[in-house]
Amino acid sequence: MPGSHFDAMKKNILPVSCVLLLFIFSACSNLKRNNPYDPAGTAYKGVTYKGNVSYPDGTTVTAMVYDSQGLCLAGYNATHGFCVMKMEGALTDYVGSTGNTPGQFMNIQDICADDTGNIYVVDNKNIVQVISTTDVMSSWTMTNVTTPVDKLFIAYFNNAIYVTSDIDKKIFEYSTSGTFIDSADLSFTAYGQFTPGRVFTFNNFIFVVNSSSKNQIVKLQAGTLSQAGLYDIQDNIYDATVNSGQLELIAAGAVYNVDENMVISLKWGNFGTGPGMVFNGGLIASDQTTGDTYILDGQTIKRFGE
Amino acid sequence: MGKSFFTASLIVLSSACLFGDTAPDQDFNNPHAVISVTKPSAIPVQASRQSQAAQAASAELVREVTPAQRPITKSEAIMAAGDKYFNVRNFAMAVKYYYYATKLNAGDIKAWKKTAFCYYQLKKHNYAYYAFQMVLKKDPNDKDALDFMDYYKTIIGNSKKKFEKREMFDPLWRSVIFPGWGQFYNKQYAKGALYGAAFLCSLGLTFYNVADEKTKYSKYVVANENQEIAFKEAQDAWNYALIWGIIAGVAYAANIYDAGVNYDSDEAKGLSLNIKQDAVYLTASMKW
Repeated sequence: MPGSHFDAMKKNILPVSCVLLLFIFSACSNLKRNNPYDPAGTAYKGVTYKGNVSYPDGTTVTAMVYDSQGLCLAGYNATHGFCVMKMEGALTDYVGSTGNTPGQFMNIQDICADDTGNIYVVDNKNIVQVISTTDVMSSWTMTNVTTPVDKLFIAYFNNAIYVTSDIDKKIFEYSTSGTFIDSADLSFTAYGQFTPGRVFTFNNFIFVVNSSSKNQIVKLQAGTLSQAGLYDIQDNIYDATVNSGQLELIAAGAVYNVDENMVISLKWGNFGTGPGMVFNGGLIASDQTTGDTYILDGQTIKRFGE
Repeated sequence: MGKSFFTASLIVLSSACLFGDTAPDQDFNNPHAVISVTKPSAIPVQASRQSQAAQAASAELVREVTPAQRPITKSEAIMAAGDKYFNVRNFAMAVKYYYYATKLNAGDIKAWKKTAFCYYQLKKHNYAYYAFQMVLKKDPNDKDALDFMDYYKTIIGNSKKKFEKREMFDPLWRSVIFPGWGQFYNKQYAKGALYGAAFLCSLGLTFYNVADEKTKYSKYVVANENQEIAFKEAQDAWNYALIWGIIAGVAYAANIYDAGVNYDSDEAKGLSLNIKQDAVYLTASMKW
């Protein structure tokens, strides 16, 4: 090595060594809690996975609601047949059985709860069965719904029951005692042909998902059932619930927090890996008291909250 | 600052190889000042008196020779008398005869060589050195004399190094480039190895923990449960990385400082050959 170059290099060795030390320490940059799921983090989005909720073995859940008494599941249980399972603490109360007589169910399709804790159930018949908070069952017939029925979905809002029927391509409005109030045709919207599917309510509006194209939602004015909006969501929507003043829409791989105009304020459930991620979302329900959200992900019910 | 001394010795050569049968039986008391390079001005007076005694003894020996035997020269008789003492390792007596033999015949290589061996054994290296020089004057290719002169020259060379001026920057820049190199340059091998190992180990652990922290932090930022545990694991790894990084930095800085401080130490100036029993030891002292 030429002497002059070597001497020049040697003179730069001390600064180079300082740079080396700085490099070592710069590799250890200070840690920041920027996990959006971390309640202690600066980027916290208000959603934390809180674990799974156990439910009876051998149960296929087709509908889910959180009423004033707790989480209610509807579906088929290997022991009790088609029934509604009220999960109140560690005990599960099985209501109903398989059959076509009053007090029995066949292929439960949807349930909803009113403000007092009564549960309304629709299956493959044109009747609505009501389960009181004391598990007393009653029923009433849905006037104007064509039989045999195919797909029925039900929602409660402001002392009224709303039912969508895919065969009729209509939404029906009844009182909680079964009195027919109104109906609206949903055959066509601005998007074209529309098949009424899942129905949910929020902020004096009724929202109906197009079961033929689940990323389309029509908004109706509660009471008048007039169309108030049409929305094309970026994902297929399978269910919805109201939580903390927001509408939470469940898609296959995420949850969308939206307002009444379907403006997304937060997308969650798609973050990270492991049990806190939603891979196959199907149903959603929320506890208005604690703000926790329950999601049926495949065969697992997951609980999220702050 | 208190100082302690640690000596690491390595056997590099057996004296049986270097000296043949003329193995010394005592080591030098001072390994750093084995020999003076000054040539003795003359064989000392004491040696002259010894040669007079040898002369008388040889005359006695000559008288003992029987008429049937071949007449031997006086010089041979003196050498035989010397050999008699030499064989019983009485080098003090033997050297009187041998030196007297050189007086009788200044060109007697054998006498000079045996004189040198005896002085060597008597640890009078100035005389031994001079005697070997005389041997080489007569026979520049004498293997024994050459071997001994090489040995003495090595010691003389090392002694000279003690007075050579060294540059501080030389070990310094080596230690900057690689910790421990400067110490090796200063011939403080054990310390150099220690600095190098300490720096490499701590640096390795730093990088390991940095990588570990990166992995765990990546897991934390996408963790959708047990974020507290995930963050704590990442933070622990970061703390370990920081600690080892500081240790590496301290080892690095200390290595540079030490290399600079010891640039002109005795150890840095050279090694000393130390003769002990039948072996030659290469010694390096390490100062802390």
